[in-house]
Amino acid sequence: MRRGLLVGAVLVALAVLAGFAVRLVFPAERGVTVLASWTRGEGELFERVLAEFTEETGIEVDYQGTTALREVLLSEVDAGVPPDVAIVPSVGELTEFAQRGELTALDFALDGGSLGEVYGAPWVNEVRRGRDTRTAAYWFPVKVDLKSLVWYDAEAHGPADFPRLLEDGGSWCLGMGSDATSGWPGTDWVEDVLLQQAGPEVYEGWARGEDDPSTAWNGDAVETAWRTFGELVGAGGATRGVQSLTRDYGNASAGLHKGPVCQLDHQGSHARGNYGDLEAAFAPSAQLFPGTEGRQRGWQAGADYAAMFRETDEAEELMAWLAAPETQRVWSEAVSDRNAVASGKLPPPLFAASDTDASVPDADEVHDALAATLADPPEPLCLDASDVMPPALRDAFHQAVLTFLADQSTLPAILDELETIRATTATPDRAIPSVCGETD
Amino acid sequence: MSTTRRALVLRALALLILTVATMASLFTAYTGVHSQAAPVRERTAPAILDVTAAQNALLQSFDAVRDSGTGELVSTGGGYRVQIAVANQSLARAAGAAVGGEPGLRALETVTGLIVSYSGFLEQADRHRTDAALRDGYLWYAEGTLSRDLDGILDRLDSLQDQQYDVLDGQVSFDRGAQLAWGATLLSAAALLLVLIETQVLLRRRFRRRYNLGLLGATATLLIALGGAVHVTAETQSALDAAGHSLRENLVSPWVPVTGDADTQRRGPAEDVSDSVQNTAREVDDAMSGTDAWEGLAGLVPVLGLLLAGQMARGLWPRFDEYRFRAR
Repeated sequence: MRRGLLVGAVLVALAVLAGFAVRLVFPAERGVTVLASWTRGEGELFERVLAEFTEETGIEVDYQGTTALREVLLSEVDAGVPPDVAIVPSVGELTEFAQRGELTALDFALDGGSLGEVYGAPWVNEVRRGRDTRTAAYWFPVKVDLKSLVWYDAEAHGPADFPRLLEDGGSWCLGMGSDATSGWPGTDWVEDVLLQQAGPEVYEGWARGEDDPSTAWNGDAVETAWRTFGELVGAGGATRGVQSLTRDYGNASAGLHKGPVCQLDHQGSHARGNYGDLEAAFAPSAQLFPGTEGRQRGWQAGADYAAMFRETDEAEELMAWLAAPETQRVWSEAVSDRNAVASGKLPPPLFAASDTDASVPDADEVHDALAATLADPPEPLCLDASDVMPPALRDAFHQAVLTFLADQSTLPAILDELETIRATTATPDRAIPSVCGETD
Repeated sequence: MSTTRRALVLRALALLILTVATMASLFTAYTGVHSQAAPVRERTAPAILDVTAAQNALLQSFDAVRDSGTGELVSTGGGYRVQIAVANQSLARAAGAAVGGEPGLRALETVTGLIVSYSGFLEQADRHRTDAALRDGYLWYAEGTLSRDLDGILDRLDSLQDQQYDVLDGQVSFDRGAQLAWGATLLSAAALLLVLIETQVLLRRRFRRRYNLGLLGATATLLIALGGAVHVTAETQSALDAAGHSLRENLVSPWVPVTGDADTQRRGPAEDVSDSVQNTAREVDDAMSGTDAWEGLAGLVPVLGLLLAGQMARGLWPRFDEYRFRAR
């Protein structure tokens, strides 16, 4: 019995010792950190897409979405802890980062060829890094947005009603609020009016900051575009301009079907998500802008571009996955899945390089028309000009729009100031070579 | 080997193994609880308080501009800069504590970026104080950036604080790991006691001695040391509980997120929030004072092991000698 006791004691002791001796340390798995401007519904959608990436590759992704993208990205980069991948709408910012040597050149190939071959100009531009004379591609568009559109309720109105609606500036859905980037809807207005009135050449020179009187901020073409914008939203003594300062752009777009409080919405293709069940149709914006003879001279387009700040195997894998046209199917399905469970429908996404094999769930005639315009634009496709400008000039442009809408009489002073800022910040030899792509 | 010699060797071996096992488990169990005190006292609790202080300062900065005069030459709205500086300092301290790990730091970086944009809007609103339309516009963007649900600064700080509370819960709770470690310690100590007593009985029968002082001393040392360790651990655990309770229950949040328009949020007076931050800090300090002294005692556990082994050797060695002499 005593022997049993002793053996028992020894066993207890050994078990306790073994329990404390065994400490297994597994190496921590490396993931990818991603920063983008998508929040709320868009952010939730992107996380669905990223979840698919994690499922396919086993690589975890830590996603942060914020509208103060520039501030966050800049502070992280300057602190030496950039995200692995950032998805940024501003080519101007990316150009700056590339020139500072913060970005990694993207040299991976896709099934259809290199990035440049698959996406083409103006989506993928090659720029220089620092003083290096060689150029490389540093970004590609993940998702795009077709602009130069005016949306209206197709059941209530047709193009024949436009002249009547244009007599009242209150017809426009107008909201400048967008948290950290408040003011951008107004910059889209000015840019688009300029593109339709003066054409792609002037637009491109102005966007690239060329030192030429015809493309100067205080030159005739640009000033006319601003004045046209002011006259359109102020027609008939309307005060939409001032009201728009304290209205979020999304809420403003929703006014097309709520009430309706407005009848015309100058917004990009993403705005469809704000129209609820309304049967919204679009007209090319030149049809409504004076000084264009109704002729569309180009199409503005915005995008969110992915760039790699830290070169890790995992980040590279994510970049290649996002760039592959096949991934568009994942996006489209994620939108469809999200719409099935969430309130507020998101429109099917649009892409710069079309995946001909992909069938898009929830696609309709409007989506097909937008996708066709992007895939084969009848007039030049031009990148959003403020996205191309250096960030300091773009931020000043945002504020200038707000100041202008509060008091239109300040325009000459605003434009002189903007021209001064352009002269000190914009360097055309460093800007991207192609703002407006070629047409066939 | 004779039966008695074998019995002695077996017991010496069992005592040695059980002493090592008891000390190893005691060390793990003891440090498991006491090592949480310093992080709670020095990092987690201050970081939680810093987040609330930052939220309060940010709300005050907004009020400073909104409620300032709209005169052309002199404005009282400049006070917002002080509040922004307070918020940035609080968040810098919270970042230094790194309570939420890498994701927590990234969330803080995002908030810091948003504060840059938020303070830019306040500056514009203050600058355009004589232009009502522009001033209202900039205040509107500032308020949206600050308090929009889900991606506003305050809500992001709430999420960050939730993460900090999760870390705190892990630190203050007497969790399964601690229960297991203490269970193992008590089990192992009980087995050691049992073998000590059994050896005492064996020696009495075989060697006709009433008491073995060495083994008796080891038994008393073990009981006293174990009792002491349990007592101070209970004290530290109750200090951790009190600190956790204070942070959870007494800290007043400066705002209540309301879904919908940014301007429908409700909040208590800023002074109440400042008071609650200061009071909670004091309560945590009071509760946790003295816990650092107990933490250092973990280093005495190996010494205790050596002491026990020495006492046992002192008790058993003469018997080995005696037995060797008799066997011849």
